[in-house]
Parts: sequence; structure tokens; C-alpha cells
Amino acid sequence: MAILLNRDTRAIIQGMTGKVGSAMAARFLAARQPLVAGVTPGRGGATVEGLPVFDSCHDAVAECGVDCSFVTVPAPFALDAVYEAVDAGIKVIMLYIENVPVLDALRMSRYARARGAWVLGPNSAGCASLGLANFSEMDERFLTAGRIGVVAKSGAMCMEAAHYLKRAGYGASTILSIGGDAVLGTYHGDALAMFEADPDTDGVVMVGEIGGRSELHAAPVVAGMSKPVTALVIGRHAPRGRQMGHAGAYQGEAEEGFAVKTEALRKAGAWIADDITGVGETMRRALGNA
Amino acid sequence: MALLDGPPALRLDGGAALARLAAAGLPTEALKAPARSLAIEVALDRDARGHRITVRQSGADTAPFAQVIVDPLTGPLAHHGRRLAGGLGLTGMPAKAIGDLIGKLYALALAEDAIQLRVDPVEIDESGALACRAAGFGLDRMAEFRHPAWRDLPIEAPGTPLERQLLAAGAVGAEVDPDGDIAAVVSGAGLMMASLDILVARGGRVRLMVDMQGLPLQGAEGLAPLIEPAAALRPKVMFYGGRFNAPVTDGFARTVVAVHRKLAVESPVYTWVDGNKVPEAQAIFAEAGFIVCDTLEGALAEVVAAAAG
Repeated sequence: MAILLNRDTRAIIQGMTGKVGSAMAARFLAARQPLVAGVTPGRGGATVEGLPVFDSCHDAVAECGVDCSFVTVPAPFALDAVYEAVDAGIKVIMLYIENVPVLDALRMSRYARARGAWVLGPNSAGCASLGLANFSEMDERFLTAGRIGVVAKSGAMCMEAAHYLKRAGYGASTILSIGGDAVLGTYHGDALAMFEADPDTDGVVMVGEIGGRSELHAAPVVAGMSKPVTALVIGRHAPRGRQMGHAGAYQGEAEEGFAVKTEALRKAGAWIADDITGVGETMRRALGNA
Repeated sequence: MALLDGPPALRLDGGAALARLAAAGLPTEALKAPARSLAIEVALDRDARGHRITVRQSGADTAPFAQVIVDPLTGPLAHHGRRLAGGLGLTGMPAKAIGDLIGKLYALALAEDAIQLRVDPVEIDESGALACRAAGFGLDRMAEFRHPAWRDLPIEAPGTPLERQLLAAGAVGAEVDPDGDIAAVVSGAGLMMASLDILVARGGRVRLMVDMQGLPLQGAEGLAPLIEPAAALRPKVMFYGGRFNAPVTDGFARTVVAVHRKLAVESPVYTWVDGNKVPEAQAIFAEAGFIVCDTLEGALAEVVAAAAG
């Protein structure tokens, strides 16, 4: 079953006639993912990689039964693209692009949540339910399917967490990059709640980072979970006030830093890994004590 | 609060900021007999998913008299104005005036793509007359496409000269310790932070960390402008690393080697790559005399040991 994406997923790429969109279409099709169409306003009737392009998400939903969108449109058009996908009834929207204005990110996040849709990102590497559907930049050849959920802001940390889980003998159910921008559509706690409800997930690795309070808001969710959570907050030694790659990764107030977040997660019952290379072994200990 | 008041914001202050308020129809002329002097801030709160409007005593960073969160789906509501006015102990016309003012300030913050708009002082008299006497905007640089005039603002980009150079090249750099002897260039923001944490935890002193962002996809033309300033530091030890999902690892390796040869950098170079085209990349690194490591943790341990040696 996994979360967000499953064997029934049917996805579109919004912006599929663009450079990034067409490249991702080729990649998803080569990996035999259930990509069924694309949407580019004004380009209806075209094809990309043999798939139909529609003028609107409504057309794509009506013709192809779409329930998921991977958004690659340029940042100035991202807000309208997400609004359109939500209004068309699409429930999982992955915003692969970055540099989206924070006000737009705020609006799309609130709009989608109010209508029961999930937005991953902006600046999300996507989502992969291994063996079922993978709409992400994560190459499934380097991943192993299993029963541990992974949630991180960073695509790189998703891959590293999955790698170190694999080294410890575990595979992943769903790997979820929630994005690195300051304002996001989905937060760590949202993903944890979904993993808790997923019968195909036995435990969760959560990688947080400096900046914002997503990890603090996740702590009460951890405390209420029956499944073990291995947590890591990266950016411990980042210079204060300095942006660390992600637009949202800079520490302002103390609560946005490593120490406060880590302690909150520890108190909530999470198993704290020392660094990213330790998440697999930490999960082994957590599962042994579950 | 987790306000977006960090380095990404552009600043607009002084007369230019006050002119924006005047153009939006807000009163800026001094009052003859102000009864109170306040500071009003409209700031985007990333975690509350809304704008936080705060009223404080002017000129002070004291506890607010009152604050509210405004949902972007509704904008300011009448009860927000009543709560803020109530926190100030205002009734009647002055209370109504405060409610009207926050509505206009919120609209201005949205129109200007302001992450933060602070008006201080805001004068108010017994009749409810208001005057905004000074203001400052923190502007969202991601929204520059909506505001072409921002290019003409006298804005100093954040960061050190090297960080700004890296930013201009399309990467993100952080100078960590000026006395550090390790420079690391990695693929991905998460790896940038995770690698720094491991290096420091093992006793390393890090001069520079760089996240290449998507530049490896652009080939040598995109990569070289970021590799060159990092290599030109000539730290005691350099590290390059990443897990590449796209088949660009060999091109990355070729560019790194070419830059080091061009600049005649003699620092020992440790590398760790995983993903696609790894054998090809490792062969290029090895042929150039770089140290090729099989694991991230092994590479970082060797980097720290080499820097200490």
C-alpha cells in the first residue's frame, strides 16, 4: 500500500513540453513508471515521448483518470499550476521546481490542504513508493523496497537514508522528499501520520534540518506513534544565520536549531541517530525494542 | 515564531520604503498631537502558514501588545482588528483606525511580496488619526520576476565575497571557519549539512562548504565557475562528493580535475561518488592522483585525518 503513491497511481507532468518536463517524462517512462499524460496550456494535442499532452488538468483527469501530478512549470506559473491541479481533483502534487515566491508557496499550501490534497515542495525531489510508483529524481536501481518509511526535506538525504537502511538490511516502503524551501505544503508530522496509518510500514526514518519548526511540530506526532521513529537533525555545525543550500535551511531563533529540535524529538520517543551514516543501525535498535 | 527574516530577503528602507506606503494611500504626514507611538509588523510566519501581525511599543523589541495570524485564504478579518485594538486598549474611532490600517498594510505586504513589513513609528491621536512615519520592507527575492524595479534597488547581497561569488555561479557556499583547513564541495543541500556535521564531529576544521545545486547537470560550463573559487582557496585538504542520480558523474570528475590542473592546486583531494557512471568517474579521479573513497563516512574520516596530519 505505502503512502501517497501506490500501484493504482496515474500521474501527469505539468509542464511536460518544457526542457525539464520532457526530460523527466523520458526518465519516468524508461523506469516504467505510471506516467499517463502531460499538461501544458496551449499545447493540447501534442505528444511527448508518445504520451498525450492536454491543455488542462481537468482534461487530463477526464481522459486519463489522473490522481497525481509532477509539476515542472517555471516558478512564475507554479501557483496557477497547483491551483488548477487541486481544482481538477488531483490529490498528490509534487512541486519539483524551486525559487517559488514564498507568498505563492503559502497560498498553494493552504489551498491544497483545505481541499484534501497534498503538495510536496516547493523544491521537492519527489516521492517513491518502491516497486509501486516512483515520481522522483531518486533512481530506483539504487534503492531497495521494504517496510521502512523515509521522510526528509532533501532529496540527497532521502537517498542517503535509504542507502544506510539498505546497509543495515532494511528496505524502504515510501521515500518522501517534502522539499527544501521555507514554506512547504507538507511537513514532517504530516508524513509521520501517514506512515503510522500505513500497514506496509513498520518504522520511519525522519531527517530534519535547521530552519523552521517542522521538526518541533512533528514531535507530538512521534509521541503518539506506535511505530518506532529514527530521527536526525542535520545542520548542527552550520554557521548561525547562514543559508545552507536549501532556501529554508538557516537558523534564526534557537528553536530553529539542532539542539532544541533534537531534544524535542528525543523526549517524544524518537531514536536519535548521531549522523546520516548511522540511521540504519539506529533503526535496527529501534525495531529491536519496538 | 519562525519568521522569514533570514539572509534571503532583500531590504527596502528609508525614504523609498515610506514612499511605497504613501503611494498605497497610507498617511505619512506627522500628527500635531500624537497620543501614542507604536510599531506594527506584518511578517510571514513559515510555520503558522500565514502572516503574523504584531503591535508593539515604538522603538522597542519588547513583548507585543497583541498579535494575530492571518490566513492567506481569508486575509485580515474584522476580529483581527478588534483583537489588535483591544490589546492596545483602544476603543471607538482609534480602534477602527487600527483595523483599517492593518488591512492596508497587509494588502501592501502582499502587493510588494514583502516577507516582512515593519512600520515604526505609527503615530495615533485621540481622534483616531494615524501617521506612518518610517518603514522597512524585507522583500522575497524569489518574487523578483513580479517586480522588475527591484533590480534598481541599492541592495547588497548577503554573505561574504566568496559566498556571493558562489551564489552568482548558481551554487550555495558557506564559509564556516576562517581558520579551517578543509574545503568540501558536495551535491545537495542535505549532504552539505550532513557532511559538515560529520567533519566537525570528527574534529575537522572546515573552511568552506559548497552545495553544487543542479550545476553538475550543466556540464563543465556550469560547474567550473563554482569549482574554481573553491579550489583557489588552496585549503590543506579538499573533498568532492555526491550521489548522482543523473549520468553526469564522469563529467563532474572531468571538470574537477581540469580546474585543479588549470589552477595548479596541490592540496590533496579526496573523493566519494555514488550513483550513475561511478567507475568512469573514479577512474578519472584516480588517474589525476586524487584519493578515491568507496563510502561517505570513509571519505570524511580520511579527510579529517589528512587535515590533522
